[in-house]
Amino acid sequence: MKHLDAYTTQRALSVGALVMTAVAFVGFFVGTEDTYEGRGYSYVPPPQNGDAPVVLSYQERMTTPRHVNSHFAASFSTLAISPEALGDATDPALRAQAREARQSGRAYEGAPPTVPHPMDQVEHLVVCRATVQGKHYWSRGPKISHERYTNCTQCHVERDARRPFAETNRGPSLWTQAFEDFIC
Amino acid sequence: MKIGRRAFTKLGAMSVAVSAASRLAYGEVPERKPDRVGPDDITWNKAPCRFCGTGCHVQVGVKGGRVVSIAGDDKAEVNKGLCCVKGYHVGLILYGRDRLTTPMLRQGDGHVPISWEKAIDIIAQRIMAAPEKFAFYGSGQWTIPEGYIAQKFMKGGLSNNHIDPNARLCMASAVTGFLSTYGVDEPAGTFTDVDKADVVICWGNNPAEMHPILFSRLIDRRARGEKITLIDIGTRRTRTTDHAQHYLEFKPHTDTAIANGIAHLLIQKGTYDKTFVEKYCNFRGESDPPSMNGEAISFEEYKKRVAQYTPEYVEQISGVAASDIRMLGEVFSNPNQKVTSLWCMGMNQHTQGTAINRLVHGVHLLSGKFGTPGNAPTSLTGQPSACGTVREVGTLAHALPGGRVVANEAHRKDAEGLWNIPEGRINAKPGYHTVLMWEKFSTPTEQNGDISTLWVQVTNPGQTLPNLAKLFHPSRKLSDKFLIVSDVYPTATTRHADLILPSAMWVEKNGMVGNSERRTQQWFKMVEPPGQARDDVWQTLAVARRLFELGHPGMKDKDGRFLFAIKDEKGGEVPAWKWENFYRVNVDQQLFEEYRKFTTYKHKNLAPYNEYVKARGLRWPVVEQPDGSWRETQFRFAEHDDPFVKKGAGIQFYHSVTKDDRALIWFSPYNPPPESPDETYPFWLCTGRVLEHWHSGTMTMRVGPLRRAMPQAYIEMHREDARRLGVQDGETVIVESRRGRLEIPVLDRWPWKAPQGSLFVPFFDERLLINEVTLDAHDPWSKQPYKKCAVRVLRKAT
Repeated sequence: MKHLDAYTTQRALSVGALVMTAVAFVGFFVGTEDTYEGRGYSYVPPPQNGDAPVVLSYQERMTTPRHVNSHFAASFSTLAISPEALGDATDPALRAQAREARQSGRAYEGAPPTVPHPMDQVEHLVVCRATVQGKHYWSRGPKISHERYTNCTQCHVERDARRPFAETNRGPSLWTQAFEDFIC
Repeated sequence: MKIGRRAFTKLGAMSVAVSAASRLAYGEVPERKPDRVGPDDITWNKAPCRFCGTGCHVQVGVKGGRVVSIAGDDKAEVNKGLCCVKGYHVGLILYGRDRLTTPMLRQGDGHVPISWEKAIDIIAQRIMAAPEKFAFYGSGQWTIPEGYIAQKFMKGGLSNNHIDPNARLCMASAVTGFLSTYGVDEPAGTFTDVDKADVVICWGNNPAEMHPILFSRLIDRRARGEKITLIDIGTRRTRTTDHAQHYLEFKPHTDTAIANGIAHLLIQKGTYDKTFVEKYCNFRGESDPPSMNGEAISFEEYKKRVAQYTPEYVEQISGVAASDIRMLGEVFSNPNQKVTSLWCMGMNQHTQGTAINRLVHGVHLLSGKFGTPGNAPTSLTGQPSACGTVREVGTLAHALPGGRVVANEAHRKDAEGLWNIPEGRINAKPGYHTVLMWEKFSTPTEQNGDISTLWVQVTNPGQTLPNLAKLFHPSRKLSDKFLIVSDVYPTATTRHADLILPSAMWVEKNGMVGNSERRTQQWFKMVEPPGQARDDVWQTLAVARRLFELGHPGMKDKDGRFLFAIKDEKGGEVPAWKWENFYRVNVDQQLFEEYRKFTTYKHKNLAPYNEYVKARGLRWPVVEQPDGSWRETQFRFAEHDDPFVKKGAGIQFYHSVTKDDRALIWFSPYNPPPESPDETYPFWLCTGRVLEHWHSGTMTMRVGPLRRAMPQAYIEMHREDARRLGVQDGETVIVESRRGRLEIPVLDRWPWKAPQGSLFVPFFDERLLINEVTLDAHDPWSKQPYKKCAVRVLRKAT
């Protein structure tokens, strides 16, 4: 192979460095993800062919009981939340309801939310991956803010444990009274 | 190729621009530092978390006299700004609706409120009547000052050594393991080893659920692309297993055979660290009759004794495949791999608890996996101050502060000197350890049951003692036995108490604790306790003062003054035993400064109180530097870090049992367990903890999100076993041992299943007391009971 002369090498290095600088510069200010206009979109009806799950609007989330996604087998691409499906983001009433819904899973502002599905470490990577991308793996799929963390059960527990049995009550329980109307 | 000056400058500028731009583009936004007073008028202050022995620091947000928020403390090295789910909810433990708020005395089947004055007088009068029949049962949740005042009150005041903690059920075998190997207690390494190790071995340990932050430190390294091998040696699958490359399932109790198997391979293949062993180790075997310190043996003898533990023989005993034993042998043989072992209750709660602790230390010493960052045998603790209070202050029946023991005359003289009490006041005979203490309390006085009054602080023995039918319930039917319980909520223990004292908890009082890595931590009172709840330190102080007033001679020092003189800034005595004066001065600080003098003897040096106010904990020995600063120690016995190691020594075990600066590599044979499954009782029963709840659930069961996530206990059973017994998922069955029985629902679909023939029941549920069923046989040296036992499962219909 013929060796490149000094001039060409130098030019190549300079051009390469320039390209990298430009990419970094653009990346810093613009970001690398697609952008969309966040205002003024209208409701788009969900696909009617039946194989993609219907994403719930903020309004529906308030009233629909959380449950396992019945269209479990659908692909991730069809599960993506489209901003349109979330309703009008500028509606103050919906925003207030959304804030309330956000708080309902947390003991206080800033607490990690409880999650509406069981978690175990084998499955959690899949859930985590879906959650990171804001997909609907279960009926509810918020996008998480901390995709670097991989030990989900460090901070999160299931919101309401699903057990195949009713709670046993053998004689006087000391906690029961403490909990009858405990909300958080 | 030639590059001119101009081109070089251009290239240089470009590369700087590129790196600067990429740093800006991908750099982390620094986290907001919590302000002292933040937005919304929330005042923030630091405190270690109330729960496990990891010792995370949290920032506690207080508004209007209430804790309203919790954040991870980003200045804390342990948790680096994060918390586990229990930690994030720790503030809620203060606000259960049924906090105890007034002292209560038993009357008939119930309790009636009484005044503090009367409550303190009742205790004092009972002690005055028979000081030698009084016992104090505390815990690893006692803060350092709480443990210290109880210790001094008992041993220095009442000449009574019947003081023991619930930590006896938890990590007593780790203590005897450290003592008989290194001559001094507590781990040489720290959590830094978990950050540096190539291989982490969990010996019957489940940090993913019990020490989640420590586990995340390990898992996060993997997420960053580091290669770490996690080996889980366990009796059931847990959340830790799910992250492990190797899961080695063994039959309960057979871990001694596994450790011996590793030692055998190291010797057989000649891959043990000859230099390390020759320079720093001696060999030890069990003596006849057995003794805590055994007898010296030669390397040849040691070699002969481990020779029988071939991988095939170990497989036969433990059920772990011979190939896996060989894999473990290779892990310890590889000089380029750094290995850290972690363990907790699995190894400690064992009739061979001391032996297995010694053997794991032995494997690390034999392979030279010791003393360098990443190489460490590290035991973990389940309570926030099992190390700081129980092990360092020495609130055990045989111990005195700072690593001293009552049986040693010189140690007693030391303590008598530091406490300024007459020579000979400290009793030389060790008191009753936990199991014996409760046995004596449960035995009628005329049958030699010589404990008649028992004061419990910060623990829940009515739920956590093994074999409750033998150790807890009988005393409740004996009219002359009096049970006093200081607690924050009604528990399975307060329910049966004669006198209940409401306590302040966590940030309702000042406190200091010590975590698993020798880190001493401090916090200040931030909110008022509810109703009449008061500090445990005050309760002990008030009883001591009442005894002083009643004329108990032990409550005076050598000069006739009250044993617990609390001074103000000018040196005048403050009547801190009166509650209204208790927070006029910092009682914690005064007790800690007094205790600190004990700590230099075993080189567990602590810094002055104010250093801990500034820090997020400091790992002892903390030694003052020429510039007046205080330096902590991460790696004990290692010259590169430990200031007490002689220059040029490399490793120096300066408290060695053999007085020659060497540690002991022990051989202990595998012995069968006291009870194994048989035809009548065909299942192994193991008890333990769950992610959502902390120990007996007194606090976490009152935290909504945690309780809802794990509302009650269950029995974990392998699906095949369930099928064979015809048991449905969710069906309530009877689990029965030779000691007791319990009705409890089955979960056979739990993803981290117990293996066939083995059952698991968590002990957090006070409605489903699995300790009615467990065994109270204990290790001969640590006296730590072994709860695993043989049980049978019956269908309710049959």
